[in-house]
Amino acid sequence: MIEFYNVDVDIDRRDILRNISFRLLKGEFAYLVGPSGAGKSTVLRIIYMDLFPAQGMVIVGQYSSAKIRLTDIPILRRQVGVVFQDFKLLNDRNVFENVAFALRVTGASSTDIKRKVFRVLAEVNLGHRRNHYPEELSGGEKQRVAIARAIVNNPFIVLADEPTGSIDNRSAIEIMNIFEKINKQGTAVLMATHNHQLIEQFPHRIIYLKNGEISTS
Amino acid sequence: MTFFFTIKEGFKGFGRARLSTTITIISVAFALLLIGYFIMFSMNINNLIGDVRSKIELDVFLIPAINETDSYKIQQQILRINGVEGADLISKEEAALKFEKEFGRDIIDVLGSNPLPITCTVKIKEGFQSAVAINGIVREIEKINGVDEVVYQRDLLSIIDRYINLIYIIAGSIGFLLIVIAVVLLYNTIRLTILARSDIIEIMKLVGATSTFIRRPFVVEGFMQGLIGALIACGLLYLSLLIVQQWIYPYAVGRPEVYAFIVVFGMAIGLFSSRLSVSKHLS
Repeated sequence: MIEFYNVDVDIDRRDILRNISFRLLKGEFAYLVGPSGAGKSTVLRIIYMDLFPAQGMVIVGQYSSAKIRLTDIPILRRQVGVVFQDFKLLNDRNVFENVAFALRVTGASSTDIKRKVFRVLAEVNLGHRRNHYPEELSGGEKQRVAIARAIVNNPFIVLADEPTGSIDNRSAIEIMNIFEKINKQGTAVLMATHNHQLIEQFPHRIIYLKNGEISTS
Repeated sequence: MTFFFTIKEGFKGFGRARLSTTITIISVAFALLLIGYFIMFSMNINNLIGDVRSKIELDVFLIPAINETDSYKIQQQILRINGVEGADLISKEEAALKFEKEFGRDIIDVLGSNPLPITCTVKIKEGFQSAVAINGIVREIEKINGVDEVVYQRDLLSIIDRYINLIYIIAGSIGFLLIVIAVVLLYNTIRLTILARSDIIEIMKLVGATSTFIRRPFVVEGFMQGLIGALIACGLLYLSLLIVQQWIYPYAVGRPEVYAFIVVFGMAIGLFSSRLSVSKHLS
């Protein structure tokens, strides 16, 4: 489903990734582990095609980095959910609107939006907070809103970039439980983290990145 | 659905970035007001010059031996000259009356006879009121048998002609410069509005919004900013015109086309600047 073939990435003439090859199967859960600056976020950005390899090729679902047209990138992104450490929520919209936003850009009808948003908010246990604004939520709740937004379009994969980096341990476990649940429903999860405690608690395949190269997979 | 979302988002943008939106609208209004002032000023100067030119008449004095019948023939010859709009004959008697009106005395009482010749007052068509064109007409008239002398405000015309081109060049340059300043100013202020909302653009891209979808609300917003700025500028311009008419120059005019131009230009500049700014941001 996701395949990296000898991928090199350089940003501002600096090698970020070197000869990366790995495969992530349908419905798989994997961690992307490595020290800061190892290239974890870059791998994720390549998957949602915010960056393109200088060498090599990446296949994401039916799209190849070598052939994808610019107009297809939004279509791809609707099938890939992304969650960040800093949540990236819109502070001037309530929880419902933040999640609905991902559907509005697809031109979904109001009925569809309501139905889907209520469903995902229930999935992340935030139905009761739907009218609240991000500033009224805890870190863990904000991250759950971000997850709800990432999964509302039924993506085949959720990419999470240090999703537990800004929240306390208890919330981190809640977030991991949600990822587990999503994964059990058939959505693949690729999570960049350096929280070894969580990795031990929720064991899955580990892709280890160091200095832009994969050391174990 | 998408259409309503776009319009709603465009309007919401006003409230979301209140400060930058206000700055943009003020900048639009200020820039358009300057352009409006400039157009009005140029238009009124042009009207004034046109007015002076249209009042220029040629006084064609016929030789004293010319009788009334011959003077009609000369009048017809003058009327056939290209650029002549009208030619009115003033008989010796009418000239004497005119003299009496102007000087308060009967010319026959003063001189014992009426030496005033038959005169033909010639009006010039619009488009032939420059010194060069009038000189050509004068030369044609002077060729006619029976014409003694042609008198007109040659010096005034020369002065107008000498400076009018300079005025037009300066006015054109200032106008062009003002429009460039307005475009640059608005482009940058609208760009600031968009930069202030780069978070929403980033999230839109992330959740799979197409570039067109991202662009639309900003274009609606830019359009509205341009329109509001233009309406403010029109209001201020109209107010200024009333003040000028009341206190400085009662003949000042402000044609509706100027206001229409400002509104259209404001909307176009808002639309164009916002579209360009978002596209640049997206790329």
